[in-house]
Amino acid sequence: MENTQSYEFNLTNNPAELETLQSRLQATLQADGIRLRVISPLNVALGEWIENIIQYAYADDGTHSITVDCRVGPTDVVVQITDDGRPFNPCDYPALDPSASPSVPAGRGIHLLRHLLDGLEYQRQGANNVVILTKHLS
Amino acid sequence: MQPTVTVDAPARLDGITSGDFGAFLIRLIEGGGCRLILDLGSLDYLSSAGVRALLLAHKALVARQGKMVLLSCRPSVQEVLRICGFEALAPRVESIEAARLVVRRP
Repeated sequence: MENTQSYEFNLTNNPAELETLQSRLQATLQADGIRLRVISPLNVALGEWIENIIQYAYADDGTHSITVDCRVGPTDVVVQITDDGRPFNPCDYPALDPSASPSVPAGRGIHLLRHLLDGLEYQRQGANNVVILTKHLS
Repeated sequence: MQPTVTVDAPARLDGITSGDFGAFLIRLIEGGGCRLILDLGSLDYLSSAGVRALLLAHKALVARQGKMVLLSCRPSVQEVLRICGFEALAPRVESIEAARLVVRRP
């Protein structure tokens, strides 16, 4: 059986927790021998998606849990992010209009998700959004 | 001739830090700093919020016939700028001497 390492991280919808999470993920992956060339785009994509959740997913001002599961396999790093916000499928979001004014949000975060990663999947599981980010190791 | 101003970007431009940094750039540009060398040597995390701040600063510069040059860009930051189409807007150089030459070019 192929060796796969799994790690779980938890945070809440407090934007101040994101940088700490990303530092922990980077340290964990570097300790597994994963190169920054793989970690950096994955971390930017993770940050984009979590910022998106925090900004848009919740109908209330309460505290919500966000879970980040990371699996390092022989060929890929797969990061699964679960939140209990309103349904939103990033794969259905329209492509970025390159002429969009910088004065308005134009989906640049989703655009980055699509182009920094090797795979982007969405599932609605009960009351949760599950987004799966995949980055090849080579 | 418009003055040349060099600004060091912080280590991180994300949803938290980009607002203040972008507002600082706009104040600088509106105050006359229209030849802007943006030193990205310390920047190792750039999100779409950071790109948006740079786009707004670039728009303000263009409105004043100004120019922006990016100095010392790390590969991970360069990739984000490329994907967002910012590379076409601001030349990227590796030395302060080259940055001064390029930013003064008409």
